[in-house]
Amino acid sequence: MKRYILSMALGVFAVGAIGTYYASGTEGDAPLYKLVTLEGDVQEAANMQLGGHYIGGVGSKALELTVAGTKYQLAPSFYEKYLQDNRFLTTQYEDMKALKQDHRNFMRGRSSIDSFYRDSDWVIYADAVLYDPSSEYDWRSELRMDVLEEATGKVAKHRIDLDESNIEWFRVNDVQRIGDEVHILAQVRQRAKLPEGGWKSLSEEFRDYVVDLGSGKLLRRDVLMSEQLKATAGTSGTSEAEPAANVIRSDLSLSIAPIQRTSQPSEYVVLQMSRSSTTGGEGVKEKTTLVRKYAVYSYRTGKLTPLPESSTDISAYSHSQSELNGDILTVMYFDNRSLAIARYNVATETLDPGELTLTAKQAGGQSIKSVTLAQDRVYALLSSEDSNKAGLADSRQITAVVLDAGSGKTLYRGEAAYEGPADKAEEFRKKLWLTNIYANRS
Amino acid sequence: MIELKEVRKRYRGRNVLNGLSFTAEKGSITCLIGMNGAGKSTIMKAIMGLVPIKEGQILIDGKPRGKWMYEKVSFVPDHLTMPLGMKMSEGLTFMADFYESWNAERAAELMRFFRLEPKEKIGNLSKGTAAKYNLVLGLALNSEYVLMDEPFSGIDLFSREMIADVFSSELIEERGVLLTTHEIDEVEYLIDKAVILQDGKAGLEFDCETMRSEQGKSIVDVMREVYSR
Amino acid sequence: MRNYLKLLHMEIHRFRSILFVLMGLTALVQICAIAFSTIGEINERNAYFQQTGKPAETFFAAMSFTRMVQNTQFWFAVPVGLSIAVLVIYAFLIWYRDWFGRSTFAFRLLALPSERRNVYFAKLTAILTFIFAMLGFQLLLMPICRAVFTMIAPADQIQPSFIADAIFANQAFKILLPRSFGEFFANYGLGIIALLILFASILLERSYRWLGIALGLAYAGLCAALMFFPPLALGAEYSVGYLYTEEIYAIQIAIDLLIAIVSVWLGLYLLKKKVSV
Repeated sequence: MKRYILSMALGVFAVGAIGTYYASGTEGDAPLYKLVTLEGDVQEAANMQLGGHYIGGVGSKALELTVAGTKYQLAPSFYEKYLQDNRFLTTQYEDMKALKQDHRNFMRGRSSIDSFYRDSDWVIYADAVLYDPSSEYDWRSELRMDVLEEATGKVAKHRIDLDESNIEWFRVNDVQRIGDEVHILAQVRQRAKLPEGGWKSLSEEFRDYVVDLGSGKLLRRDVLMSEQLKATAGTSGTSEAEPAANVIRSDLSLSIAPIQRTSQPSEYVVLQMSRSSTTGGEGVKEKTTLVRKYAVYSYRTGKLTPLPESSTDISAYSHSQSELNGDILTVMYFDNRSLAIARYNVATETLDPGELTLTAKQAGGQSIKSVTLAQDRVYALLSSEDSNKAGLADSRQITAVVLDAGSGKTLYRGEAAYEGPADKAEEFRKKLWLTNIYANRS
Repeated sequence: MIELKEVRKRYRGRNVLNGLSFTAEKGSITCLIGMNGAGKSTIMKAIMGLVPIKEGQILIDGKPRGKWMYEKVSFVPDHLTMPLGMKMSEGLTFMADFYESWNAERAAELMRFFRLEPKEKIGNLSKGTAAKYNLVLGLALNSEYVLMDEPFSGIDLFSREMIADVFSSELIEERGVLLTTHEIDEVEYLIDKAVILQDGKAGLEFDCETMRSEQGKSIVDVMREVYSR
Repeated sequence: MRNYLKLLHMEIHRFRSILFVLMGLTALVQICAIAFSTIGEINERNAYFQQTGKPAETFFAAMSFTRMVQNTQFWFAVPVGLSIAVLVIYAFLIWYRDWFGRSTFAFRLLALPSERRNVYFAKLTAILTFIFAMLGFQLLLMPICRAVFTMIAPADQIQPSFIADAIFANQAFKILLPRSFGEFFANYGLGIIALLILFASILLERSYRWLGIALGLAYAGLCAALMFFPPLALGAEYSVGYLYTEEIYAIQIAIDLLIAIVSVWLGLYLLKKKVSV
């Protein structure tokens, strides 16, 4: 046995060294932080995630801070890397996760969360496909609708040739069912053939394709742009005061207000038109202004009604985010100093009179570093540094707040603290840089 | 008894062994005789399972071969088969490690007989010394059969005499020996049975004593007869 | 079992001098690289102080072992690359050295009164032992190098480093010693399967010579395709696909295991029935 000492020692050494290394943790310098509640109910922060970096002198390590603690993305386990579902659609949204669990095969190959509809009897997925059968850029368009009957589990696949050859692109924004009619709301850009050959892009429009639930036949196709929206969507400048010549850039985009839970049944959808114009030029400072118009479309009645204008001077704000939650449309305008919230009831087509304007100071900070709107809550990362000051603020200056989108009341306020010996707390808080705030949508 | 039945083997398109059948009995010294390239080494390797055969049977004491045969059949090859970096003593330890039938005392005795220096590295041995060492490795096993491939080839005269002495001793007496050699005339007196290979088959298999007394022919005479046909 | 262990010991014993040379070389080159790099930085800092009169801390970041490793990428990687090359070559030689050369040890190995699979597994285990022993040695060297750094650099200017961060600072170690054990397991699992395929190919060559080379290459090529093509073909990289990613990887893992089993079986079969000396 003595002869074998070398081999045995080598084997034991190899396993021991590698085992010890991996068992003792390979994250290296990765301190843990926790969220400390300064005010309010910590339950309100359950959905909240703060993103940032720990910068410890040898580069930065990305981390995510939630009420559950700190998570670094350094060392995903074998399970996390390979054996877990890594696709976006089926892992990021609660309603999609539930659908995958209930109807695994139906969910295969699905690409768009906006194309789903689910109620207690039916699951519907509808999207649009452009294809080129003759390979001569003579695109054909087709609506595809798969209907799953919950009671029997049977799936009916319908393919509807749209007989329209001048569509440039086609995106399904929402799918709803009213009785036996399935409404597929799509955003479509058309094109026209030029006499000298080639194609010219035309403007976009919204269309409601109404399909029979049982037979899959196309019942009708309604074009939705109302005249008022169209007028504002014209090619002129931002407002009557600005001469068109000063406009450097003008972008028009059509969209629908993001829906809190995309597969949920709803009678309404909100169409958004937003024009962002940058004016300026020689000697004139560049200024970007935003014009937004909203209109609510009722699937049941087929009516498109513009929503009243907000009284706040929204052109002062550089960004906005909207959310349709049931019958409530919340629109948040924000920049790095303040935010303004307008709420509408889309069923009654009215604007909530209590419009909210909140400055960073009122919320408890000097500037807003990051803000997001989700589920009737405003999540904001506030900094005690003025926004004009260059550079990032470290976590000693950052607080996270959760506000009620209706009243503006602060429901939660918290900050990051170091999990470890108190004498090191200050040092480590200085090395944590929080930059973004996220919230799960549903 | 080592028995070959209708053994066939192809090598590089040629039927090296083409229905070869012969036997090598215990207690006698059998010699395989053939021209260069007739397949003598191949036959030895085939018996030892070191090359595969296409058809036919090779039986040891009536049983098909298995790993048990390596305790019963030892092999003395015509070149070195131990790692060059090993000392001769380490080579003996290696054999002792794996073979139950290894006789360490006999090994030591043979090393003394052949005047081999145990601490010498195998890589430094001359051809003659290497051949003697191979014999030690082969004969120190309490095997029943010994296969020797060209045990005298390229060996100097005195070493050859030492090896021939071993043949006559009790080390060989009860075992079955199968050997191949080129120097037929020099070792003719040692051999009991001869198998003359021709076209991959056993052209002639005969007892030497009988051949000499009844027909007055030596092995060389028989060889000439067979190969001139 | 005992025969397997004896053969394993023999294989390890045969290679021990090369292994120790590799270890010694790695230690020498890496320790020297760290030492020279540290001394170089100290000289720079002194030069700055002499030129400007300001202390070095105002211009230079704190000295850290991790940064030293980052600065010595090339020299650190040289012995690692050399060791890898030697081990890869020996994966071939561990077989071929017994066939070619003045002595044909294969005669002895294949005529042992024990199952030939013990020879196969002894060679396989030996190679794996060498690989993991070198890895273990590299892990052992890191705290040693850090100690060397700490001895040389002035204490008041050092920023402490974690070994894991220092290891990660070298590009080569990102694959050889990844942070996540799951990745380590996957990388070396694939490596072991590649070794099994290699052994099967070598034994194909030893059984069928020229035809065997062609068979060996074809087998290796087929296995390589099966190991890398399916995830791409099945759409693992796409954001949508018919199969869920966990299904694609489960299929791939099953294929890999199958290849491993087939390769081992093929190697054992060839060694027992078809190999020629």
